Amino acid sequence: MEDDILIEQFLRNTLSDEEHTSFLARMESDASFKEQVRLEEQLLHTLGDTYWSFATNDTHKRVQAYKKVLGSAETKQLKKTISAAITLYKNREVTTQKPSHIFKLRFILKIAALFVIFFSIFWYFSKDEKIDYASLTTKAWNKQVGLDFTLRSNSSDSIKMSLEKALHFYTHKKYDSTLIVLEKYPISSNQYKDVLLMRALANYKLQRIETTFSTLDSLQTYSPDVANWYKGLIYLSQQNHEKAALYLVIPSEPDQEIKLKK
Amino acid sequence: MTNQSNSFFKKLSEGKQEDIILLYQEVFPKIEQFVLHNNGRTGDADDIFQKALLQLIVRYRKEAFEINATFESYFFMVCKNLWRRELNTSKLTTNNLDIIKNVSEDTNTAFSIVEQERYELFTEKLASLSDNCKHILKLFFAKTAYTVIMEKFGYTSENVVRQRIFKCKKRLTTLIKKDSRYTNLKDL
Repeated sequence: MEDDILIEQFLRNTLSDEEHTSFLARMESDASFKEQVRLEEQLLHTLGDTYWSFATNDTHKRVQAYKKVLGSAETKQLKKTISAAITLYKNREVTTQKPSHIFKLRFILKIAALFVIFFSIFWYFSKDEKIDYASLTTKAWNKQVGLDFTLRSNSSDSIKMSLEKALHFYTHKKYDSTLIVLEKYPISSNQYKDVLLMRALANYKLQRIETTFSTLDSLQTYSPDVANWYKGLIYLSQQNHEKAALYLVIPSEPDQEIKLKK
Repeated sequence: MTNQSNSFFKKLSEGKQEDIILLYQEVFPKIEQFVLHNNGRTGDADDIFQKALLQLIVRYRKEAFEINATFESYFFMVCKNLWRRELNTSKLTTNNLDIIKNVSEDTNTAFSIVEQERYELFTEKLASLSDNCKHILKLFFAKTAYTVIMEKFGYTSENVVRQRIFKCKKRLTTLIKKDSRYTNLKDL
């Protein structure tokens, strides 16, 4: 065990100078110890990953025997044959590569043709499946969201009457008249949000976009969903899908409908 | 499979071009990949293939021997060792380097053959040990720290690890020394 530790320390180069000298002296005088050291060194270098155990004794009987075989005419011929075989194989590879390239080119062309056919078919069928945003938008406008105030309110006051009148003008495309009817209604009114909505829509129809949006901003305080719905629809009518998508869920399939983004 | 391998080996030792081409076709891509992944070039892989083939045929012609694996995997192992030898040449001490570099090509090939024989003897004996010994010695030869081996095997102290390594190494060296091939391979 002591020798084992000593040999290990020698092989790992951790002996002190004094220990190292004494170790080498022992190797010189003790053949069996020397053999053990050499064997352990060879094991470490052969079975470890870091090194390789080299032979260095060219007078060794076995080395000499191999040298004799290696120096023979037969082995010299063998070397030539090996080298020639590899060259031949490589040359064959070069000549057989041409058809292989042609094959590859044909294959690529076939794939490309298939791709074009597939794409054309897909395009042909998919064009009918395109989403008609214009008709979806019209459908959404026709829902007349928020314009059911005549049903919602039971009051018989002047505001309700004015709103009904305004809606009548609006549906008959008399947008200026709509605005005139709803000109003087205070914030404190219960149906002020309906007034704002009618004003906003009439202004939109009159192409007063800035006023429309500022009116819808005012409506936002009372009826955020309605205000957002119309903001979204106006952007969609302007084909500004990016901004519309801030307020609405834009359909990704033809059979879907526009919805308010919650 | 080994019968097939040995008959192919026997045929290959005749040194016929078509057999060499067949082997090159089969194993070279793997050798090339290995060499390229280990700091080598395609030219090095070609060189290694030729050296390995020459080494094996010369060995076989001198003394026919059998292999216990598929010929492809055995040949690949020889190529790996030759490349490892090549890479480690730069790690040699000045004295040893002179010995290796100043020798003739035939001497160097002869050295590589006996080194391969020694490798086969050592790995064969290591493989015949118990799983525990095999595992622990592999870690030891890979210069794994005793503390790591201790934790891995659940030993109580480094001293226990040392004793276990000592016993396993003793078994291994005894087996090697008992083998008749060892006498021919010591003092190389």
